Amino acid sequence: MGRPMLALLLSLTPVAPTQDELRLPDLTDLSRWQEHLALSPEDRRFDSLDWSTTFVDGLRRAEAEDQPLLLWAMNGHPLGCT
Amino acid sequence: MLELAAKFTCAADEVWRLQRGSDEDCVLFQRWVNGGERITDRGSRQGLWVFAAGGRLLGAGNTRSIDAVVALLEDALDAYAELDETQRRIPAGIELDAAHRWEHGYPEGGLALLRLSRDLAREGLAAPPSSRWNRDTFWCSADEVSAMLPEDLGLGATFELPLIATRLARFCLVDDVRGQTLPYAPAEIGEARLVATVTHRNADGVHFALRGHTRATAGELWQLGENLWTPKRGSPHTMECEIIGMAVFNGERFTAFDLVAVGKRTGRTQFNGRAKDPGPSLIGFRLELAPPNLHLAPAFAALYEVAWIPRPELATWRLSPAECGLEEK
Repeated sequence: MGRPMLALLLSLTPVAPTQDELRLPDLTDLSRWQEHLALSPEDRRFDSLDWSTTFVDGLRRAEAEDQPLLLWAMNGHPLGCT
Repeated sequence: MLELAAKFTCAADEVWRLQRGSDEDCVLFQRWVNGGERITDRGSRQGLWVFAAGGRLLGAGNTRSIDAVVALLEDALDAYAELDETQRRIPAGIELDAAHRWEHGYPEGGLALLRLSRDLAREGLAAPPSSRWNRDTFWCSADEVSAMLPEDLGLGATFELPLIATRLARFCLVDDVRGQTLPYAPAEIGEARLVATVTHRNADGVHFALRGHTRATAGELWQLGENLWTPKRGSPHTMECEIIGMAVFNGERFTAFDLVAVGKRTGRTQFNGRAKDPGPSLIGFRLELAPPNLHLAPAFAALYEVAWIPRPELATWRLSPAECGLEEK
């Protein structure tokens, strides 16, 4: 690889800012930040299902509703922190 | 997909306890997913499982492929239709209530927050929010809350909330956006401040403005001992956050508690998906009161080390009860 090509590639490679270069943004407007960070309707589509939060609660409901139980089991509670 | 999923009773749960624990519900899960036997290997049972209430396994998978999940669910529905009444009922004589779940420590009358974490662009509010996010919860007991509030809540009164600040810095303002992460040890907290100022009072109660700063630095040495979270190897990582917020206290409890924290993160932990993204980069957190019916325990509830959160008989699920010698093999 010639030097010009190497220089070009290096110039195109994203470089993470250093700790000092990366500045925290202004944090005065609470409501704007809340809105910015909030989940969108797209993000929350899975929330439209009526989730039981334990295997046992789901099992009891499945029996009462005469439906199969769909259990989503993960390291970290899927509805909390995964 | 949602229409198909609505034909099921949906539940979500933490798998580590189910696949390793000795409570009846754990044993039931283990037998149902493991051919009738307790699980003794160390493999993970993460994923989607479909059962009939009577115990028949109707399908299983751990995939992000929508087509594969649709096929799994359709096959499971067909299989369920073939079952008789008995197979759709929970087997008699089973004690399903768990002896211990961290949710049993839910702080009634205290402070239970729902926390969202999200990657942020360097441009902050000027750039669209990232699609990568995660959720967790945060708890303080009613006694902890009342112990933090001074008697003088007059206009302009200012006071520190050190317990909330420290608990936030250790367990909540952590980089779990892309995967499960680790908490910070007390010695790794360089600064944890949250200052409340009374801004006004009205019929709703006392209104506070909140402002804070946290700084946490973890090195290669894991400082929280042997527990469920002990990593195979330590990885340096840092988090520094500015915090703003507001809260309303009605004399008995908080009726509003809104926080935003924006932080700078560096480094990685064992499973948090940052191996190729050591940063520094920006991360945002939003906290608000959790819905009253959401009792999910904080990911690191086991490390709160407070008397009001009951602990399980076994110190950890890293080893099964049989491996600990507390249950016959």
